[in-house]
Amino acid sequence: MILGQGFLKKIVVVILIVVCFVLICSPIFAAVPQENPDTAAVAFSGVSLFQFYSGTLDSVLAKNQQDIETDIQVSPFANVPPAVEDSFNNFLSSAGNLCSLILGLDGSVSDTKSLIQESRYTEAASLYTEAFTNLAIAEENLDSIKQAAVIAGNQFNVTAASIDSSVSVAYIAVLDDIQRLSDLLKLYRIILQEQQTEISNQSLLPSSDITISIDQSEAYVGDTVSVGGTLSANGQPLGNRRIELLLDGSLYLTVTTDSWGHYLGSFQVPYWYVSLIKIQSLYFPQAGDVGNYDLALSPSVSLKILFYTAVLTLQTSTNAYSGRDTSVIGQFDYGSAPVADERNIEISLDNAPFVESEVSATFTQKISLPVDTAIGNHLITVSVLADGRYSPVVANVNLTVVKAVPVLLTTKLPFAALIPGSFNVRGKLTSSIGPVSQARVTITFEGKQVNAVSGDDGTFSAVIRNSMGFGLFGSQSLEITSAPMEPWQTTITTSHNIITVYIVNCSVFFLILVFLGIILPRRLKFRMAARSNHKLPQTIVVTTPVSSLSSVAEDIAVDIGRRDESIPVGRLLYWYRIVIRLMQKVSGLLLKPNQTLREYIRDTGQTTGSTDKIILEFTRIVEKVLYSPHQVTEDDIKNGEQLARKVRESIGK
Amino acid sequence: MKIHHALIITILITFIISLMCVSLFPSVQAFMQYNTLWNGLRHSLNALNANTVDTSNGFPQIDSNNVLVCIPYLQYSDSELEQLKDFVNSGGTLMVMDDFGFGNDILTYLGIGCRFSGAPLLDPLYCYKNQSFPEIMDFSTAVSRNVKEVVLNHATALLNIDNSLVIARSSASSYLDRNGNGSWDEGELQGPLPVAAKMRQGNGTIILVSDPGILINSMLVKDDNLLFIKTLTGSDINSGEILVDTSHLIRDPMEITKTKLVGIKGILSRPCALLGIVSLLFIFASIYILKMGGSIGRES
Repeated sequence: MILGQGFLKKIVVVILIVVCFVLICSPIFAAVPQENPDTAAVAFSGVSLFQFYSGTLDSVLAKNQQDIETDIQVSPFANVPPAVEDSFNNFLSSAGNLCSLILGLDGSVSDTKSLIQESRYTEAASLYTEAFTNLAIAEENLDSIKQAAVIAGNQFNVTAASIDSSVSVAYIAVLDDIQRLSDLLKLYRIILQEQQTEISNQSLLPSSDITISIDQSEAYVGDTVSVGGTLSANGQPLGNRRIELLLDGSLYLTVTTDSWGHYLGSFQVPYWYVSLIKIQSLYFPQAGDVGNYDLALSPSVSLKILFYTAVLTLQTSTNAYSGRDTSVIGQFDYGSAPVADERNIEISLDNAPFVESEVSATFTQKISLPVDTAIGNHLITVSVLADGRYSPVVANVNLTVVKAVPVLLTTKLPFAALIPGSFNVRGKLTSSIGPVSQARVTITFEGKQVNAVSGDDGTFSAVIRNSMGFGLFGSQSLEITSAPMEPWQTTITTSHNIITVYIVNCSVFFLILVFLGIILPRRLKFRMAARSNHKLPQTIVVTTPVSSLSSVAEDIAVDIGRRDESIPVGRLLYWYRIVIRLMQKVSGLLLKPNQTLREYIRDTGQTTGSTDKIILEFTRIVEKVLYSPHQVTEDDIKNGEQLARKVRESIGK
Repeated sequence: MKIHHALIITILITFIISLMCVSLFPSVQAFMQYNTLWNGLRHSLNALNANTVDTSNGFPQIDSNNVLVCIPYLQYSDSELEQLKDFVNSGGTLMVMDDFGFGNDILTYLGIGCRFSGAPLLDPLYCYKNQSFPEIMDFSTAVSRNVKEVVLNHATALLNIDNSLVIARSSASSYLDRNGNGSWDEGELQGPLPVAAKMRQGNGTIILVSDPGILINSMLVKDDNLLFIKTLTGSDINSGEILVDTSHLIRDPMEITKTKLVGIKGILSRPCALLGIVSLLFIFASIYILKMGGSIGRES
């Protein structure tokens, strides 16, 4: 049975331990939507990689270079197996190159065709040669792409996968795209070969020549420049032929040759604020000349373009505030050029046109920021329009939009607050842009709120009235919240600690402490002493056996001080207590719990000497009173008093 | 020893041991402010210089220049939603970070048409370790000045949102795994999908992020996550404080006790409470001394 109870106890203890463990540890195993990124399993997806390859190749086929560039930019973040990383990067760079080459080939084929139509066979031949070289490079890039696809295929073991599996389908899509690209490159090769044949057939035509000269090597924008030259074929001038003047390759002017093949024209230098313009004259056969003469393009002559430049330096305030005006300060530096009286400027905020104005060489332009301007950095762009010989200027500067944080200055708060009572709170609100006027100031203290409004100079004043509470004393927080009216100012809350003293509570508490510490002990002492005196006579007279004298003696020693000396027994024991104390002082021995009075007198006899007889006599009287029905008489008391005095005198000597 | 004495002593010892266990046992619950492990908020709050706010006993007064971050894993009551609305309308910035919680309740109450999808956003190609950690590389101009990449942790996406409000999108290879089979199926939305947005509401601003997981200790240090949060909240230039509402997170009893214990510590450290404790000790000591009476000092 005992064994059974012990076993049961053990079972209960084990169950309790298990329950506690489960309760405490359950949160550890609780399901959470998040996963520890440091211990998360690494997983690669072949399907997504092949889909990505396929998508990129589709972009190449669609000649969408921007998409491929975006893919290249984010490629470092792709999660691909380490073994495939190199081939992945090769794939992307090859795809980018291939797309660029295909776009180039497109252009080459188209341009070559145009040049052939214009009988510009020399240029067409040059372009064709370049296109053939690019085609070879494109084929190399396609090989790299194919190789990268194969490496990825091996990594994801595509050959072992079922033909219907997602990874196989995605892989086959990549191979299909590669095949389509291969077909495209073959098509380009065929087209270029056809163009080559056409150029070869036309290159036997008589060549024509054209010269060009200009009357000045440099000119300001807007100035007039004369241009002239001669057109001939096999040394014979070609008259009445249309000559096109090209500025930087673009048609700008058309003139006609005279019967000697000379041409002359003048043109206004365009307002192109560039350092050089290349001028060429072009003749291409038209009407009856087609098939008889070759195209002629003159060598280019350079015209240095002069114009006035300026550097614009901008400055803004360190901080701007939404809803408030801010200034953009600008200064033009024209160097050695004459300073323009006025310039038209356009100011944009984050590329959105904002303000237009006419300004001088040094200007300060105010702009009002919208109330909903977001906090943060913004870009201010000042665009200065071109004006005659003055070139356009663009300058940027950053503008930081913030909210002004009011600062509470010169707060006048009391060091301590008495409760109940009242005190004044005065302060001044200011921010980086001046005093904060008309702000709603809320002062919270002890759970109560007082409102005030700041004046024009930002000052405010309020009276806090405190009613009774439950505290005693300590530090309390006084919170001042200022909510400015203006949108460019932010709300702030400041805290101050004030020592609070609850006078009434402290007084009550002090009284309680006084009661507990002084009055209550005295009252309890009185009551307990009285209770002891009521109990003692019964114990002494009726029940105390001789064998327990020591405990009775102890009671006497302990309770002796509590007795009421107004009763006879008390008066007699008062004198005996004096004797016992004298003996304790002289002998240094205390009355032990198991000692009788006589044993104690015997033990102290060596130190008290002859006095022990007097003490013994007194002890007999006390024993008689304590352990017999004898009632204390006045004689006993007088006798005891005399014996006590004798003992004191004897010991005093 | 009498039975009732033994019982009192046992209860006292059990109580003291329980308090010690609650104090010393590390917090392991996700998003808890005292949790220093991978899923806690302790280090993140320090890094963001953010504080927590408990709205369970009433919505506190929050300055409008502060940013209140809500992770609504528990439902907001109508009065709490009304107070959120007031906070936003008065110029405050509310950042709702949710994946599979009650974020849509807030959006509905605030009258915003956008919704948290609630389906896992997976990206098998642009991810950290596996597709549950999508890498975000497409940001609006304002954000992309500082932030280049952000990694999410078991996120979702935002739906029905105007393009001009979107500030971050997942990659084209991402998708919403509505049926939860871990692979893309016909009919499941494919990327790019919005994962963060910012909009004006009243005088305030609402920021939506479809993954609260980027706030936890182990995620905030990944990529530009910290910078992303700082940029969204404007804490790098704004003087306001970031306050994370922890009262709508799922908490186990130990976390509740731990939080209350910290609250009690705070209360006890006040002058009045200290004075009360000293007074009680004084009273009990006085009573004991009086009860013992003359027996004190007597030789046994």
